[in-house]
Amino acid sequence: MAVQRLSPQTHGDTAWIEREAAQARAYDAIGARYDEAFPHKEGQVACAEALLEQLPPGARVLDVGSGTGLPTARQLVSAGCEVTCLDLSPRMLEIAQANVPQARFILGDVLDLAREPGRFDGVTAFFSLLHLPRAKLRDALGLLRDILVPQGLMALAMVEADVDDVPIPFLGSRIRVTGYLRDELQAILPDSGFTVELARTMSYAPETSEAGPEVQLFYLCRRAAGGDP
Amino acid sequence: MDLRDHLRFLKEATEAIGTGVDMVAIAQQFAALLVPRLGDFASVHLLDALFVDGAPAPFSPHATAVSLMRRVAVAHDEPPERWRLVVPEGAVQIMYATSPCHEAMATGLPVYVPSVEPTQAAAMALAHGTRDLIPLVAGRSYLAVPLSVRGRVLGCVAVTRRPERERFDDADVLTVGQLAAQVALSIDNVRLYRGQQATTAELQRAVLSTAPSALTGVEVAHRYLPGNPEVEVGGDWFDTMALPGSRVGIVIGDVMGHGVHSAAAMGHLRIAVQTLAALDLPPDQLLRQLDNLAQRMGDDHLATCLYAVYDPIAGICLLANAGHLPPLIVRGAGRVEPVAVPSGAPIGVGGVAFDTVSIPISDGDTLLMYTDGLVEARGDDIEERIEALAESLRLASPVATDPEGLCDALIGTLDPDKHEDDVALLAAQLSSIAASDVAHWLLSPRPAAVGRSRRLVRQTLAGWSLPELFDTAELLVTELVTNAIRYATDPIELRLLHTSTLLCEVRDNDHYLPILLEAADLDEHGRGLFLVSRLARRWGSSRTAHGKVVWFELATADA
Repeated sequence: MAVQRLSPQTHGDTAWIEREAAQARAYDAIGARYDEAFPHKEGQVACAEALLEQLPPGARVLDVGSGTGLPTARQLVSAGCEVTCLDLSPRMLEIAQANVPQARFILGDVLDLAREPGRFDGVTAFFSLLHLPRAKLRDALGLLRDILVPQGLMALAMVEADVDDVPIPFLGSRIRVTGYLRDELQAILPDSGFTVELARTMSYAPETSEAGPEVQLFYLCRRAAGGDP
Repeated sequence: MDLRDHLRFLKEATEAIGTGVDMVAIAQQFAALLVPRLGDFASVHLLDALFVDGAPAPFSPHATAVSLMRRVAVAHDEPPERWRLVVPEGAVQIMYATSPCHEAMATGLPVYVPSVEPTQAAAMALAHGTRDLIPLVAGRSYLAVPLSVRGRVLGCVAVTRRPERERFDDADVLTVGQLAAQVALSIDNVRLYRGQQATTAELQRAVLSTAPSALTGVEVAHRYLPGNPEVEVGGDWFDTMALPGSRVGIVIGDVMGHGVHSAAAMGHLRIAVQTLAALDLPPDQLLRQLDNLAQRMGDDHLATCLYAVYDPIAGICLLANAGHLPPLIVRGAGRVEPVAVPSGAPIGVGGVAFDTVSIPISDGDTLLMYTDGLVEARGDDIEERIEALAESLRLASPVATDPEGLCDALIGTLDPDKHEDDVALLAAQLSSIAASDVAHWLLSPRPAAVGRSRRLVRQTLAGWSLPELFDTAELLVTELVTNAIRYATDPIELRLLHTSTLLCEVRDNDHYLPILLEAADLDEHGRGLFLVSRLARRWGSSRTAHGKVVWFELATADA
């Protein structure tokens, strides 16, 4: 299936465009090694499962930062969802196409998605929004809320940290990451128009020396009723 | 004297003297042999300095003559008590110039007095301090023979005969001289041997692995068999080192060549590896640095070396190799795998790159590192030898379940008479730490990080059911994080690890290690590490490639 390309909405901001290109290049370089370093994603699978339990059959789900498509996009497709994979890295998207040929694919930045209300019944964003600076991350949460149907669901995973857009070595590349502590994130989500229905914290140790152990935060959130918060 | 009888005496005496490993016993044996056959009285004197470890014998005979001497053996044919008070064994004295012994030692030649004149006897007694000496020497024929060997005089033997006995003849002088030479040689050998033993014991202390106490996640057994049991030290070494994050560095190495020279080079490399390991360098970079250091130290030694870092949390082992034999891994169910690590060039070759390989480790796997002495007698081809060793491991592993047992089994397969090279062997059983027992965060270096850290610690300890540690852990984390954010410019890292203890580490990108100061009563700063040292079970800090890590450990109730 053809890959849809998003065109940058931030034409003037060349610094931002270059930054996102650098993040994309880092993931191009990481490629399939990502799954070798981060196997056994029980927490992520369980969180997606919780999402699936509440979605109608044939639900339209957007997987933000779909990576290799494993395990989440494949899990969603297997459950009968109509899945759209979004990723910034062409290489990652290629791998996902091979792993989950049933999905649709969009190459680009989540912030460049068209703000079409009610386009998706569900959104998954596992460890993808952490690549945005805090201000943009808040924008992205608002955008994702807007493209969900009323009462739509979002499964979100972040790494617990107190940093805003700092570069870290990651699987031989350098990427910029952002994090919140669990209490802060649980306050930010309602501010962005989501109600937290499930929250889970778990430790995770990658099987590599090129990334450290981390504390992962999983949330199942529902689009709050009413207009813009 | 019958010639045959005389030769038999010489043979037996030489044999009796030559076997001693103790200076005093040799001297006493000597004196006993002399009386009554060659004299009515004999005493043996040795340099007192010989009884001090490491003291060299003086070079000039004259120096010996004026040195402190110890009378180590006295023999005579009279009742045992007769001369005890006059010439007690064990007494230390200067040999007075009046004694023929003095001249013998000063010249290095035998001195023969056919009959000691009354005036000389009186002079000797005066110098000796008691007139009771007179009957022991007056009118006797007196033979003083130096104990000299390799150009040095170690002491002297005095033999006397009563006036009524025939005086010493040339054959007697030669006989005593012959035996004295033998005694001197034996005593010098003891001295050298003991010196060598002291040196090797000292080196041995440097070699023996001092395993860090409480190495979380690793159970280590090791064996070291010197190729030459007389010299209990060689160029082989191994070490285990605790690294941040509950990781463990494991090294084995082998300086090519034998003996004390290689052992000294080994000592250099060993310390260098420990220092570099403390910097937490990746294995390939550690070997590269070690190679650089070896070149700069000017050692023309080559050494093979294998360095591994085991990470019990990630469940991986990183290895780099400098020409050493590849390690073996004993997996569960007795499966034995050689580790495919590029062989690399030995340390000392210079300018070559090393590669780090990463191998997955499952809970309970055993990593076996060894030196070539272990496989030298197992076949001609090195591949065959390693395969034979792997086969021994396969046979041993179902029975020997722990590292000690594996080491015993492998050492047991060695032919004790055949191994010529040193054998060093290290078996490390690696257990993993579950991710649920680890927590790790990046925190921006700002004042808010202190409170946030406290909150994270409390939340995490609650999850681990360690409420009894809340207060101490929060207090100490506060100190560490406060120190870290003072100078750090990058995010700091906070890590908690729950095993049999609670380990807390704080990393930052500032290189200066904290110093434990005694804070004065009103000081605002400087109290932190004092608190940490008081309240923690253990604590420490080390430099890393990107800054430093400061850590403390608290005992848990179940530990």
